[in-house]
Amino acid sequence: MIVQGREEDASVGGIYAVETMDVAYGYNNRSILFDNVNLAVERGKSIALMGRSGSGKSTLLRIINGSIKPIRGMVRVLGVEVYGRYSNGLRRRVAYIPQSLGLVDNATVLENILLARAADSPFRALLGLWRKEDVDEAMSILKSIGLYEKARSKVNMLSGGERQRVAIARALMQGARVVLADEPVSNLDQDNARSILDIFKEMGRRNSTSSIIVMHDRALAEEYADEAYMLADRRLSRLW
Amino acid sequence: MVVWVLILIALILAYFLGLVDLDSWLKASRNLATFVSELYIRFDLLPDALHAVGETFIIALFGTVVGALISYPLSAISAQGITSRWLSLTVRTIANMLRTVPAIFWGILFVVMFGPGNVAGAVALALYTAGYLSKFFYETFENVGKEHYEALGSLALPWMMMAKALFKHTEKQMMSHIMFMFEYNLRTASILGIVGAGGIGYYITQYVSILNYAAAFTFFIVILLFVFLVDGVSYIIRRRI
Repeated sequence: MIVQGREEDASVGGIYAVETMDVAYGYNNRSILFDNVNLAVERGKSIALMGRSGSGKSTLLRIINGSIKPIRGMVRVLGVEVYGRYSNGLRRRVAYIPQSLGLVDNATVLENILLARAADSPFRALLGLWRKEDVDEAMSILKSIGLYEKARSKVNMLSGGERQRVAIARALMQGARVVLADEPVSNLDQDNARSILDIFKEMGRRNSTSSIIVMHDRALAEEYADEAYMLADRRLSRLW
Repeated sequence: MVVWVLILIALILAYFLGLVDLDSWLKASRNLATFVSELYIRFDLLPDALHAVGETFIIALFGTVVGALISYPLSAISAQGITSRWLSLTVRTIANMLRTVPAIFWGILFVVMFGPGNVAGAVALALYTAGYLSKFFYETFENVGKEHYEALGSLALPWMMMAKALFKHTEKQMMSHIMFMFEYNLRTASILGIVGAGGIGYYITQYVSILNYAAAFTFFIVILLFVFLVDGVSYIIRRRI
């Protein structure tokens, strides 16, 4: 599988795409969800983040995404220290795929993917007048992930696996250097799960895109992840 | 004990309001009998009644369409997470104000401005609708879920584009809100005529003032049937959305 995406200088910001140092999060100082979380994700690597429900995996992902602030510690993404919200430049280099996927339900697959370029020409995007080169690139990405035929379908008419692919296609269109995916394969059968994880792997190889993937299936993680971490008892420990 | 206290209060207040006067009740009964005896349909007035219903329909439709158009930007700015907090709060306050003032008061204002007639009613309903739909819309946005905002936020979308994406995402709910508002506006447009702001209410008020109850009743029945019809059609459409 050849995954299309923006070719960019992967060396900016050092060898690590994501680093966390002594990160802690809690709802107040007495109820700490996790503490001393240290993570270093190299560029192009796929990381599996595992742990029981409620252990804080999604929260850690949201901290890295800049959606919420940690109560302690430092987060660095693509060489930039993050204190809550990202700057716009960094923002577009990090794609966040939550469990709900964040797709625009009544829009077509193509429109969802083109949203990744809306910030380049907002007024054209507002009127739905997309640039031809953007449409061509989106179609090329769709072809590479096997959704070419579904370009004009509404995303709420797609299967779970197809919707997941659309979310990933949007991250590719975005030119993301880091993808944070919250349980992208949890509700998929093994074949679909493998094809999704293949795309993440290919993104790493081809575009040096790092991915942090929350998942539960250890066998799948062993098969696809370069490294795996377990979040349990408020600590993050490396599995391999 | 509470019930006895309530009964006592009701009796005292009824005394002060003159409701315990038997003569006034007898007079009211005679008036009611006269009124009911004159309630019949005047078929000769049906064309006029249908014309008045048409005016009411146009007032309600204009108010709903223009109000919805105004509420699009208002709700996008008001919703938390799309624009800055202070801007959101300011616009939300303006939308609240539009909604808090009853449509009939907006009607009075626009009758003063434009004179009596349909224009006053249509503009009054547009403003009132803008206030109401803004609230419906921004609450719908806020129910979309934080994760969804964060995922779209990671595309660094300008606020207008973010709003467009959210409108598209919640399109069905938005349409349902607009349909509901149209039904509501049709009823409101029917009574705006009381203050001279056009619609069928204006004709009903005029007929009642000259004690022509049959004519008023004819107009009333026609609008009642029309509202039932619109409610039914709207219900079917909303179910299919």
